[in-house]
Amino acid sequence: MKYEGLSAVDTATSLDETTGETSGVAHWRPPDGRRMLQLALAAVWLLDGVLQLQPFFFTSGPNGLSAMLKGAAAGNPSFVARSITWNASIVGHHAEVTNAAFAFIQILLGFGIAWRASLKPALVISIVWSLGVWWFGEGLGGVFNGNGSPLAGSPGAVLFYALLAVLLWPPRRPDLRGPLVAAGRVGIVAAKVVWVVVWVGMGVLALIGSARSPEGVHDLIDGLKAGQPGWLAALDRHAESLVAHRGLTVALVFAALCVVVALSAFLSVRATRAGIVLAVLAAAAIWVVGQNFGLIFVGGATDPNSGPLLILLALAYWPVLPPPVTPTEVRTVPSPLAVTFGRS
Amino acid sequence: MPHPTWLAYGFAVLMVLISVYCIGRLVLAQHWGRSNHFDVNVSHVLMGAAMVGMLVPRWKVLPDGLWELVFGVLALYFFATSTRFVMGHGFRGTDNGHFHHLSHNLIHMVMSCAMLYMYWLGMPITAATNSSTSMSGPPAGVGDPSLTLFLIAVLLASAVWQLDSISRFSPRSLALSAVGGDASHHTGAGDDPPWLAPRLEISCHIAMCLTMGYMLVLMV
Repeated sequence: MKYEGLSAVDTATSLDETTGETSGVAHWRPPDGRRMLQLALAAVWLLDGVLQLQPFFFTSGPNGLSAMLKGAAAGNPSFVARSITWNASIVGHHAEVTNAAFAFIQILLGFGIAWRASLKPALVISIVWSLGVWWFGEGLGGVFNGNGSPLAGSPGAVLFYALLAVLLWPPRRPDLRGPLVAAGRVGIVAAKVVWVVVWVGMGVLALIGSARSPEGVHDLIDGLKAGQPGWLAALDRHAESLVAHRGLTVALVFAALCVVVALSAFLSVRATRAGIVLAVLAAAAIWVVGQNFGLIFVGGATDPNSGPLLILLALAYWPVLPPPVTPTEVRTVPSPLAVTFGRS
Repeated sequence: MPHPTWLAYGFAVLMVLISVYCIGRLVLAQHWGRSNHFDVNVSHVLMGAAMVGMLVPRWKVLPDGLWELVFGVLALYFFATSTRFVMGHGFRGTDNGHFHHLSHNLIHMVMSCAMLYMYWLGMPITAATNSSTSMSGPPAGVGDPSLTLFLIAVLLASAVWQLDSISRFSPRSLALSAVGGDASHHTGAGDDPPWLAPRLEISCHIAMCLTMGYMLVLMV
């Protein structure tokens, strides 16, 4: 049996696209770059929801989710720490119910983003949920307690979910292709500001966090090894020996790399692409060595950490050259200013 | 580690409903002369029934050895259909539905392999006791976590991919397809009879992927 009829839908719906504002049930077309990134984000949410169903999280007490949440309070300002402890105590008293709710909310977010009819509400809810988890679950990503290192996931993996939800928001007119997927709705200036803030921010965190101490990175990797599959533990051992006593050097190199990546967004298309490749490679390296895939192989992980989200973020900034304009299309092409700022 | 039995029962009930529904599809499609993915629905019935037995052991309908044989045959069948499709149409097709068609065979092959994997590792399960949490618990830490998580990732990616495509089969999309003259298969405008409730079939697939993902994650 063949799945047919796609091109027909495309042809028929192109007439309706001038109305814009659709993520639409009736406007099905094969996924483009933006949609593929949205689907990847949906898959990560779904994975988070399924990971949350692990038995570990349904237990209360020192070995359960509440203890994990309580641990995020350490070192934070008192009002933040109090709110985290308060939330953790609620979770501790109702571990089963709260964890099941957490899991199903994340599963629903994944399904909501994947189903075109519910895309926008799901993205909005995902932003709210992400910010809540960033506060109560990740203790603001270690930004305020001095222990945050981008190698370990700081400023918080879940913050990138919210950021991606904003940047991947559907554009007003789906037929208007901006120069970047990330600039679709927020405009290219705002998108580039976000890019700079993310990468410069991570560079700064690398320099001020505890990982800059001589054994900081070594200890970070050492703490990940237990229970990992053999190949990953072996990789960790090699990485450890490489960075032993070189925490400050690693921090400086990483900070310099972050600045290069941040600045690449303002250079030529070729340089921007090189910067994005560098960002993807850096994110992949962080994910494997610094985060051990978010510790998902050893159980008890709620998400795959920031590595894959950083990769998605970088891909959203891949410059897209506009298709060549034929003479008959000239009149319908929007002004360069409108394209630049992602507005119709 | 203790695990809520109500969750296992919940997924088991969902699988029972899907199996019954897929049996109904097989009967009704034949009776009404509608198109249907026969192989997919048969595999959904079998996987659903097997997972029910894994989730709630006292609801087991066949011995594990027999299920292993069943899923071995299913995996081989989907491997053969995938190979035949690639040999006939190549990896890159000429129409937009090519990838969907190929992935449909491949994902069911992966699902059959995932079932085999769980049986080989002695996947029993959680709802064996009468208390709210099982004391025996799932076999956490068995198998290769990399392979387990790879299977989970593939299943969840398939669920997301299928859910994205579900809007193609909304009445409005089908009407637009009919206007374009390229949707005879779904609407019945051409030689092929229309496909029986495509969105429900896709929903069943998504639910199966999620349930299988849940069972696999208990092993990590």
